[in-house]
Amino acid sequence: MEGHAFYIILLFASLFMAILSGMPALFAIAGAPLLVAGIGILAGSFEPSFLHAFPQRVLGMMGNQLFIALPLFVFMGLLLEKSGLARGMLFAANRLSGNSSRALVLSVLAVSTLIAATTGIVGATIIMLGAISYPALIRAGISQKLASGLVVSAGTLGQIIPPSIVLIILSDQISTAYQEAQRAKGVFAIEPVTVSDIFAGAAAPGLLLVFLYAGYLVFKLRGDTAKAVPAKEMQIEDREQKSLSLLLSPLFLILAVLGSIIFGIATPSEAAAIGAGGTLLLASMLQERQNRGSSLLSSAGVVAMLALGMTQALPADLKFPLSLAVSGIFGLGLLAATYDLLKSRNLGPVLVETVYLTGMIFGIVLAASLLSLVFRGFGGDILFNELAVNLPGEKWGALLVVMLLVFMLGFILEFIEIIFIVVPIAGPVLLGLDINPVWLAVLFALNLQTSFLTPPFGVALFYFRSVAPPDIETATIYRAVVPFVILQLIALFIVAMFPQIALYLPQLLFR
Amino acid sequence: MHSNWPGIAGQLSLSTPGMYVLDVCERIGDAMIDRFTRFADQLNKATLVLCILLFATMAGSTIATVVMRHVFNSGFLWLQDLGMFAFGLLAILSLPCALNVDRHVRVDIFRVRQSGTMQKRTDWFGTAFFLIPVFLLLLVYSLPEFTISLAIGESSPQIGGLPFYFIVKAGIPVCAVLMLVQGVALVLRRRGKIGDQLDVG
Repeated sequence: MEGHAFYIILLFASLFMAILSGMPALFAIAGAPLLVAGIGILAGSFEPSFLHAFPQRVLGMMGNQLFIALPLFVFMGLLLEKSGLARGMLFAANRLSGNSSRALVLSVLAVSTLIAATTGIVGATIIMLGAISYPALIRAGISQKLASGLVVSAGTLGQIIPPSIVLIILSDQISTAYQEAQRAKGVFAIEPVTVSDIFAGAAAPGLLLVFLYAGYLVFKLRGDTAKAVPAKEMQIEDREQKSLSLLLSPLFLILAVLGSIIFGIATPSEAAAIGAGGTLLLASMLQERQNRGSSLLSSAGVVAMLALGMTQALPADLKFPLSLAVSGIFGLGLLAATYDLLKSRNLGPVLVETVYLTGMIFGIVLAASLLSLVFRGFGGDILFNELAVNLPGEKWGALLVVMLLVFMLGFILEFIEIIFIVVPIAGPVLLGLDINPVWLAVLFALNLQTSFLTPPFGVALFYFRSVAPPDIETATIYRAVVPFVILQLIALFIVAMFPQIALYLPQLLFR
Repeated sequence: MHSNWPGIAGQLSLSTPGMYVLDVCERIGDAMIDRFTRFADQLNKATLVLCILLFATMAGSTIATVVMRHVFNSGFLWLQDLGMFAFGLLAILSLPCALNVDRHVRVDIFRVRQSGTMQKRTDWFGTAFFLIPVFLLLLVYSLPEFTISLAIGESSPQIGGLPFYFIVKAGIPVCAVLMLVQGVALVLRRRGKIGDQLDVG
């Protein structure tokens, strides 16, 4: 089969026009390819049987074990925000940093990193940072520009620091692309790329980004002397007590999710379920207006959950009865926490919102499956392969072009559309040029960080705008992100130059 | 256009019989549209409750699977399958829920500058030429797969898993129908509100 360049161009032109028209992206990404396929069928250049695979693709999405993690992580992030857990952490950070502006920016960054490592939903995190940390930053005498830049960029860390929704979707697409590339080379014993590999691969680059931000912030505030913040203002925040449990709770969740993946207790999808359970227990335990009985049960549940992780160390004769008891307490704790949170009307809205966000994500996944079918039906994969092979600089040339494309698309599209449009098309080509899949995934993830911040369609900017005080101009916010986007590109460049930053940890843990 | 009619027709309805007839037709049409959108909302409530139950089932059975395996070194394939079945249905049935409240991502760089009329035209266009063909195609192609699956009583692709795999397969045509209903309801609900601001979701 040969490629139909005309139809491929028509496909992408109509796709982008439809997306930019403002109709739901789901309609555009599925509908535009279908219309072009219709024209192709009438003209005899498209084989209709390609479309027959559409329900099969959808069924594949519904049976994808990896995707179970998505609704669970969404739920976890939303509940962390709704329950006031993450809010409390931010207040604690404001309080602990006392009156130094440098200490404040660094503690805001540190807490954002912790929230990111528990799961970190971009929208929820930025709204919280904007409402809680931004006023504190301004009070500490930090400029509007630096403060808003910090809030939006720290709020997006959740998508590069594992566990993250971006990384899960990326790993699914990258591993499919990798298998395709290997099969094309005639390699059939393929070592799979797992989401664990990609989580591990993104950890060090994510921290690198945090350090770059920290270095920049300290540099910008180098001349600032300590400023006394009036004691009265500090006290407003003092209502949020329980600092210790608040600071320990993210560590508990990080241990529960990342720990169970690293120690081989659970797959990433199962770890997401454990994290969701842990968040449920914590949220009920730390709830303001609480029922003593259920609070006790959920606290016992937290202890039981920690104990469950260690049951392997028990002596053989005690193991079964003790484990049974501990699992029972854990189960009871979960039920009590669910009841408690449902009664306080905190859980209902989180569940409804989880369903909406799940629908939003899978809407794009479903639409993208039709796009990729039509793209292949017109032989687009063959065309792109020829194009990439003819690029100068072999793998570096192709990589540079794709990275530039992703960066440019980041100005108008969201990460999820970019992943589903670019990776299935460019992935197999790049991975066929002997590029390591984990490294490539991390480069994509770092590059996609910019898409949250680049105007006009940077999601982080929208969320921040919705909570930012009206006196800050949108133009100021746009200018504020420039240094942080540059730092993200520097991180991308460093990881591109030194692949070991991404590859060391996965090799250490899983090889 | 639509919303201007009741006013004009209302004033003239007693004087000109033609306008009177138009007015009555208009009211009957309005009532039917109202009924349809209310029906869509009811349907959505049911879907939403189902999705929440599916989510709870998925989370619960996944946690139980981990505890069983890690602590007791055993497990049930049906339990794992229950989680997968619940996820599969949640993944597909959450789509119409998000559509009912217009929560699917839109790229609104240009949309924010469009007038209300223009936005509504875009929505009509999107529903008529993009949403409807896609989900009709999905319905037409997935229905036979479901009926075959039902006829042979297809069980889980996993050996030792749950029976009733056709329930998962039923999710696809059901989703397609719900998407058609919710998509049409979404544009109909906005029909009268000219100059309506963009819902930021």
